Amino acid sequence: MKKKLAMLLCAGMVMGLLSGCGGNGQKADSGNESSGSSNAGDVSEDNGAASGSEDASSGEAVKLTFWKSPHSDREDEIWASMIAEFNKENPNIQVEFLNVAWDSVVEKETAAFAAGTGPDISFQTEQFPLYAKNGYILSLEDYADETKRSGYPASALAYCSYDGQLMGIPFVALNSVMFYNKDMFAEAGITEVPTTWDEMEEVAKKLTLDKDGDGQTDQWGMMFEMDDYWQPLTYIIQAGADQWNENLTNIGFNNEQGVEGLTFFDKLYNQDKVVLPLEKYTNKEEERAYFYNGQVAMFPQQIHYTNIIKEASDINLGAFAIPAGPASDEAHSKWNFANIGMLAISSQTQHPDAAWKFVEFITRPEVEKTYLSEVGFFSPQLATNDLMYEGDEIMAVAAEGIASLQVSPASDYANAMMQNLKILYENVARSEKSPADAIQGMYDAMKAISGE
Amino acid sequence: MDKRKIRDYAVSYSFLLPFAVFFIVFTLIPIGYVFYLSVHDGNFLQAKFDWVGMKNFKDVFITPDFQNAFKNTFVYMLIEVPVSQFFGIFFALLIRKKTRFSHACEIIFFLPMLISMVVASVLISYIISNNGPLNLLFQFLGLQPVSWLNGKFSAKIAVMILELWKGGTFFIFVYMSAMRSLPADCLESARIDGANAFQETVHVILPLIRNAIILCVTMNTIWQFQIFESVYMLTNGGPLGATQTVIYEIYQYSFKYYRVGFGAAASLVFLLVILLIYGLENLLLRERKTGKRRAGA
Repeated sequence: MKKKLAMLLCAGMVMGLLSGCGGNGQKADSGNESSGSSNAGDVSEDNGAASGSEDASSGEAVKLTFWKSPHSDREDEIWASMIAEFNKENPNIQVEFLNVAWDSVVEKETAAFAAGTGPDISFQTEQFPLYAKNGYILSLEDYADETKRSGYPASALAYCSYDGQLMGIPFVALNSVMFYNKDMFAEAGITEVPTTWDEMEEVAKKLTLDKDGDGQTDQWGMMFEMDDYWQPLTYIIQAGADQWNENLTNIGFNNEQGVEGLTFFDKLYNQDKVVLPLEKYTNKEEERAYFYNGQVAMFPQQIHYTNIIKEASDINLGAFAIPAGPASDEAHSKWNFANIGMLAISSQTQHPDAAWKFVEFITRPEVEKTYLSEVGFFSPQLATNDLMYEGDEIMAVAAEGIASLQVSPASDYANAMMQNLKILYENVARSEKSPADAIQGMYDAMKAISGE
Repeated sequence: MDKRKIRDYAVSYSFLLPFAVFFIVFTLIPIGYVFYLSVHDGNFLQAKFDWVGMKNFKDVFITPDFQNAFKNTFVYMLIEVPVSQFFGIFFALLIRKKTRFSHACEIIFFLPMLISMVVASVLISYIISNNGPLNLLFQFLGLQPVSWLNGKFSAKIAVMILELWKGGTFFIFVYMSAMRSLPADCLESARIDGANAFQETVHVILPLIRNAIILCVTMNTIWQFQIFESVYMLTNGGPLGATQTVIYEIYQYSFKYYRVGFGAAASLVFLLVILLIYGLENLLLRERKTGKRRAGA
């Protein structure tokens, strides 16, 4: 009897173990009732307007998850108030906001989508084709009508499309400017902001000083933020090269123009020595402190840094357009890093209608301006931009570029590009490799990843 | 076989069943899946993977990132293992006798093990930052401040300091336990024979805790091969890949670059290396036993 009982208990433990393992699968399946498959690619069509109509008709509370990486220290707070506004109009739709760190968002989304538990709504940037290609993002062709689309420039909608299908509603538009310390410029007798590479180099030289006369530089013309993938790329593209190859699988700047652009970056760092050297800081806070404390005069960055800088320091902040490069065409010579972020709906969502209601609400000009103006972004919707930043001279500099936004194409290999760009700059800034060798090294590294 | 014996076997094996299921589901099947992935290409978002044969294994051996990561991992292992074992034995010797002082030390040594690696990394990162307390101390002593995380070698040292502080204290307890369980007569006779503290340590204590040393060295070697969190948190593999380790690269390629097959192949190659090292350690232990028997005979 005892033996039988023991065997029964063991069998019970095994069953418990196995049923515990099967818990998530059941959850995932319930989201895909119509397809009966956990493959998101199969679900995207089935979860369209048909299942969505259930949301509209039923009065039951619907729970949605929304994942976004932060652009502000107050991200959670801002979204809480926006969701509260949304709930006034849609009391039956609960939206749970999750602030996902930038450095782990790709891994987390990949794991969640693969497990069938991806967020109903997510903020997507240049990495979205990977999800779109594999069917994890819901096409919004049936949701975004002509009225909704008419607010956006065709280029913004094209950026958010994959294979001819609209995959997200453009929500954030940004570009880059050169922030500068007006007082330092005035002190050095610089009255005009630089507009070309040569002028910028000259200005940076004038602003690089040994102020206390101890034989060591203690003021620098400019700095590039640690871990910034994009700003040094400006010189490569402004010299006439392209970021991507034709298939968007490897770099498009392993050529003469690319080397010319990176050589200019090298010159600023190692020959002119006008850039804050790497050994002066070990983290972003230490580095930014140099700009905040008036030891660095120029700082190229994305426009939303305006608020970050203003909150952290009381320097007399100004901004001007990133100085133009030597490329013969304006699209290259005036290139600066610009991007569009979109709100996308997962094909795994059980409530596509409710998710669309949220996306539609958030991207209304009068609503999205709350988030965008708090963070310091622009909207891809020009009507929203008219509602923000009136009389703000820094935002006016960026606004000019926003009207004709040039965004690099999104790619499956965007993440690999970013990681390897950082290594490319570091190799040059630390004089470990010549610009040509560094570019060749990046080309080889990308080839090892993409196979092309 | 009679029915009764079969029933006895059934009862015996049924006790193994819960663990066996656990082992199969969470160990054997994942290992099998890694083998499957290693000969395929693709990512977790795809419905199916493409067969590529041994291409991923070939890529592992020719990718410079991995060669660099293997080199770094060996450097960590070669420096960190002897240093942490030396300190482990040294501190264990200091506190092997139970006193109030040793109890206080035990608590202090135990604390790093209670802190998560994330918190420990943030702490160390602050301490060694350019404007951190360590550099302030250097300046106070009239020394030049060191930008620890900017130098290729100093960044490695920073990772090793973190690993030593966070993981190394564990060995103090292993050695302390081994020393406290040593037969008192051996130590007494050494003292009667006039051995000083150094001679007692080298000729009596260390040989007697040899098995503990081999265990700790083996464990530490395997742990050093698995370094990931400290690198991820402290240096992110930089500067210029100087602190990248094999596990960090496997993570990068699998989850950041979406080359899951490549990551799986690298994992298997790495598993083989760890098994080889483990085998060497075991061989060392077995040879010694045989030697003892021969000497006894």
